[in-house]
Amino acid sequence: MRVNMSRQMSFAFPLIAAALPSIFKRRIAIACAIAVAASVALGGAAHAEPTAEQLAFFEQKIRPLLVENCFTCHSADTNSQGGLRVDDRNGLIAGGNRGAAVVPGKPDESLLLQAVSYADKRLKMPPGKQLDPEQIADLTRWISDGAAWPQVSLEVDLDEPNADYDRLRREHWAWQPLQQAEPPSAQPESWAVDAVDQFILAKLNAENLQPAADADRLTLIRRVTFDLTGLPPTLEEIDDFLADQSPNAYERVVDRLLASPTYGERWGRHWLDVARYGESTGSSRNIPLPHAWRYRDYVIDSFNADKPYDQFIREQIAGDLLPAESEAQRREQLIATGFLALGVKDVNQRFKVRFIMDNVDEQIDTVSRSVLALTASCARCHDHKFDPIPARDYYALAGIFRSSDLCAGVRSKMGGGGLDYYDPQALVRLGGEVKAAPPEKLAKAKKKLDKAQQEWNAIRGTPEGLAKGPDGRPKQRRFRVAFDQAQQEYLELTDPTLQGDAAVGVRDAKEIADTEYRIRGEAEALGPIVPRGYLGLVTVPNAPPIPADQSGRLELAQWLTSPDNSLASRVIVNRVWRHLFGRGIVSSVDNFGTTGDVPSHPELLDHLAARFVAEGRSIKQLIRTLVLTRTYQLDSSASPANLAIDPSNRQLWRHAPRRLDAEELRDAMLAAAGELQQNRPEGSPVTKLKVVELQNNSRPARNVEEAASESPHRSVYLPLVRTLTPTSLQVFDFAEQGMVSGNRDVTTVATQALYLLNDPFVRRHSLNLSKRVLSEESADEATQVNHVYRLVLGREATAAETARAIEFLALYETALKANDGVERHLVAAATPLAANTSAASGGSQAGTTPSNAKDNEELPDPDQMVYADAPVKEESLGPIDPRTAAWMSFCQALFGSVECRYVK
Amino acid sequence: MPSIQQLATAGHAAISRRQLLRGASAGFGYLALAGMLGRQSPAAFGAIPQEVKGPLAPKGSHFPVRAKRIIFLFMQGSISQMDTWEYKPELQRNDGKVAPGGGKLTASKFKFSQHGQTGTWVSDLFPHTAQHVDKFCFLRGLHTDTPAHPQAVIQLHTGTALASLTRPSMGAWMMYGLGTENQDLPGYISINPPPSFGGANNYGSAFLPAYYQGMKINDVGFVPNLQAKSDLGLQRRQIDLLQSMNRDLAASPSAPDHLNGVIESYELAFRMQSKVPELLDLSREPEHVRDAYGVKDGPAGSFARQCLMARRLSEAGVRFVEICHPGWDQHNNLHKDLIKNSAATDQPTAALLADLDQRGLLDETLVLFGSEFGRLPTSQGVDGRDHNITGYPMWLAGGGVKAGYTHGATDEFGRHAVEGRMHTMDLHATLLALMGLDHERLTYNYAGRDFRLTDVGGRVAQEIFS
Repeated sequence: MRVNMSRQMSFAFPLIAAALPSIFKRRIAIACAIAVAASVALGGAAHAEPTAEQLAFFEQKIRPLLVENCFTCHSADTNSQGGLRVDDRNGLIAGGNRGAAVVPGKPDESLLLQAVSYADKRLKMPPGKQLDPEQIADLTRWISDGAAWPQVSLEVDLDEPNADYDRLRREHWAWQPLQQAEPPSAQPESWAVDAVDQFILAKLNAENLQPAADADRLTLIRRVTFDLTGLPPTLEEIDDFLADQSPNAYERVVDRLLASPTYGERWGRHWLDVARYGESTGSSRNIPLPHAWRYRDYVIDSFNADKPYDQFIREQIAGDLLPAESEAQRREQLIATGFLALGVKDVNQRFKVRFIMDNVDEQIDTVSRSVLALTASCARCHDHKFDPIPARDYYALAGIFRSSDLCAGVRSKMGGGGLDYYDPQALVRLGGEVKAAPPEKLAKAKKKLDKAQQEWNAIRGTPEGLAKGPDGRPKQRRFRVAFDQAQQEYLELTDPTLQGDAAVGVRDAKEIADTEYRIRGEAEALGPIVPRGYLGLVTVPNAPPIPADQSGRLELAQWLTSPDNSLASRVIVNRVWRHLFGRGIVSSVDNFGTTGDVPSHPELLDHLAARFVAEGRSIKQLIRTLVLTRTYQLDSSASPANLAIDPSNRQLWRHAPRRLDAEELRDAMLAAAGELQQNRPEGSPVTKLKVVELQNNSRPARNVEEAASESPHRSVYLPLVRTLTPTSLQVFDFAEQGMVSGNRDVTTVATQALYLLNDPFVRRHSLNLSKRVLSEESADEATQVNHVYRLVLGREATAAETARAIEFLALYETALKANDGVERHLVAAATPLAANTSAASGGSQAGTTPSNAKDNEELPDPDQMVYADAPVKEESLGPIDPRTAAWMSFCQALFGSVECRYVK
Repeated sequence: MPSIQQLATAGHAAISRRQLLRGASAGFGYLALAGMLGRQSPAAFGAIPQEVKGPLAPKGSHFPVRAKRIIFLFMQGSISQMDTWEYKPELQRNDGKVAPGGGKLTASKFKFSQHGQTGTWVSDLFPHTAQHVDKFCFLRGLHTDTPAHPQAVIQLHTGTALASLTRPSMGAWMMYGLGTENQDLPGYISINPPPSFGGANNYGSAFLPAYYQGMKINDVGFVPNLQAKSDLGLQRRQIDLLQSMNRDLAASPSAPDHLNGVIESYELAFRMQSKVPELLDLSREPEHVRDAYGVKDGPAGSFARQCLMARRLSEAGVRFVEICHPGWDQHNNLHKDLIKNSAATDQPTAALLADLDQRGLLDETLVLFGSEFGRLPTSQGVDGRDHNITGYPMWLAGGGVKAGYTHGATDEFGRHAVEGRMHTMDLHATLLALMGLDHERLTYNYAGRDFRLTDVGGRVAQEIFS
């Protein structure tokens, strides 16, 4: 049934009742009138009701004509050449790349008539067979007459109250004002050092759980240093802390860590998970975003500056609309809006309106889940099934984002190649006066570009173009090269990124408007216009009205960050809690809706949220409070009695051990090897990429992967091209780069073990660590073993461990000598792939090259690619002596141990 | 009721027995694994431990299992059905005429003839494979949503091409639902997957935990980090050392929950280092077998190598193997390129079918052959055909499907599916059902919603079940 619908759907836009799953609330009344209901606006323009006569004319004359002559190339079922579809009235009105095909009532302005009249030699439709004069006259009459198109129309009553919704708004815990409960008394009273502890202890009392003992100081400094900075403590830091017997020694460590720039690199990364940070568009065509790294640095800097959280959010949603006191601040705020621009995008989308509405949806999803832990994008197609978010609210938000231009530097185009997806105008300029190119020069370049494009379009795919030239390549090839060249030259004159700094972000659109409800979420299926506004489920008194001449992002940002928006405060304190205690008070950190988890300690959550707001929404202050609690400082030992009652430690009777994040493990290995460079690298390897599709096995992709593998910098600075996540991060459950991820999985799979056994990065730094330790003159073996233990695990080796290590080293060395005296493959073996790999070469058409072609080769038609894995780069550090090899193996074993990977 | 992933996700490992039993009572939890289907592999490469636990343990199915494994021969670029599997006499008769809906009808230049007991028409591009037509179950009424490769490839693999949310691949869903048969091997392998059109998303796990993602290998069997960089004896010493450290920690009261899993993962990794290359080492096959597939070095032998690797992997219990032959996008050079591509794929495909059959594996292995969409019966340029998403075929063979059967049909020219129409979601629902999974019950809760491979659609084509 659905199948048949889809054909009809694509033909005449509206929906049919049966297409709606019956589970939906039936608040969309279907009126099968052959008329457009008064409440339904089309294209935002008034559309007079067509008469029966007009419709009959359409059915008899126009529809058959369109089907017969146009559908093959311009419908939802086909490629929709030029982005135009004629199987839908809105498609005709919206038009394709050239503009509106039909302007109802205005035949002179309708490109469709120009095309069929064959007046313009560049635009003759249908190609090769002109319509007869009678047909053209019919089309003209139809357009003059208002371009009637029959509708199975809808009356969408968006205001009908929903009893369930009212009840949920009233009752669901997350949407209520903060409850200010007094910290409860609990036994023993002397145990608590902060109100937080009182809330925890009271629950422990109630469940008959005994809190674990306090953690020892060595455990504590390793824990708090990893938690706050993502790095292990240095040996000096450990020694200093162990030696410092003053009562506030721990507090001073905490303050030192919070003041360290490494703090922002750790906590900024937590936000980057939530902000689904990535440096390419991902999806069907993976286009690099060379300026995305500025947002990454902005986030890190904001955490280090301890920017109040409300300001941090306001900047990311509406930084471009906020006043700035300095050029530096203006710049910073512009970069902040990258938050809205960094999502996954389908640049190969045929229809511009879908590209826009899909991106709007991505923005709504990101904003609602990150700031409010609400799944608002569920309301794109229908009222939210579980939470009181009517589709009306969704489209109220959509109007705000629809009134903003996405400036990610890309545009949509189906079947594009080369630089087609690059739109330098769609970037945020940061400064440096962009000097306009001399007009004559610009005009000349534009002329050259237009000519080259026309010539390429004219010959592309034609028999002549495909015929082989004297050089054995298709004749059209040089036209493509010329076009790319002209594009490049034009860009050099117009690309702001070449003349000053640019960033991804958003800005208010030229056209500010409320947008239409989209039936079933289909971008083209327009319902009534919905005024811009906020989600009704959170009541914020005195929410600012949305001005008619601005997008409303600023007001949305104010609404989100109002001190009265208790939901937003709960969400962020819960996120912080999760990173310090391993699990949120609400474990579903990105979903506070009715399908999410309920808080384990609701009063504590509200207490923290209220305190957070009262203390100026300082994240550092919140973290400081939490790590100074007694609860945070508990030992991780599990007692059988407690385990029997609360095996998952939901009540926090101990500090549960946690696995290091992928970044921490990598950074810790670099630090132990003495190879970590703590300065911030400039930009990203992605900055160097052209804005053309990145194939996973292409040379540029390899360059990015190699840069990641060889980088000595902290992991937060590794390049993050979507679907090309660096191995060191990928194998340890790195955040999925397309989604808001407040929680990362912790999986245990064999690829992790293989990585720790064989990856060049691990091998290289095991060797570096062994060299570091062996270079210590006059140290005996036991001292050296102990040093490795301290560097890798942050603790001394026991006597038994030392003896075991020494025995291992001796046996390994002897065995190696007995073999052939050298470690067989030191780091990574060369893998002879180049000769053998690659798939069959079928399908290569004119103008294509293998994907591992040199960077400056002609850009291939991406749909025609023949691909092959490029050879793996050979890496060898040369032969090493058996003793060093034995030490390297020992160091690597320690890196691979579970203890190295966990913080308790 | 805890959802299945709450039971399976290691992030929340400590689960009460009550929760566990409640989960198991749905017939789909940890306790449901013993004695369930899909456990025994006839030519088991490694015996399944009796007490397999964890997210990849074999799990119970919703329906009787018709196929234990899938081998998907993905013809990326969209093979022209008009010139291969879809014989349309009316198209041949009306060559050059205007097609309904526009365009110029273009007959196939290849000769079709009937094969097997069923008398199925196949063009002379696939002479070897044609000998197996009586094993085939054709789906001739397929259709999909987007006539562009990037989105269609992603949709075929993950169910939707909507960019705003990356979905898990179908292989990942099967891993999640069924676990693996052979704990010594990855359960889901994609050989030579397209490096674009979604890239890793096509074998990724998206919001499912990483256990379920596919492993990518290339057509000479290269797997990153699989090759031991030390002498194996020396590496064993190293692993022994680190395992003794791990066991020490396991004895401590602050031992992390996943410690035993890590210990096991090292042993598995160590075994995989020798077993996987062994499996992918085609020189271990007798010469006559390699010759039957047409195995040779270099690009021309790529697909033959992939087919033979697929058989070896599948035989060893790998649940889902996808292999890929790209380059079927003939907007031009249709004639020449079809000859070249079919020459590279015909013999290996036929050899794979014959080999599986001979080993008694075809009954439980589902072979799927097809593309992201089809091509038009009309011409494009001098010698090409454009994309067609409104009607195109795939064929299935083996596990659980009727042999010598045709489901669905396109119109007289092969343009639109008119009977037995199957959307990509219907295909997914049907494949899951053949593997014993109910597409409506195979759900994962993410962002407050129960997601399915088939989203809100999908109909199982029961008609094709044997």
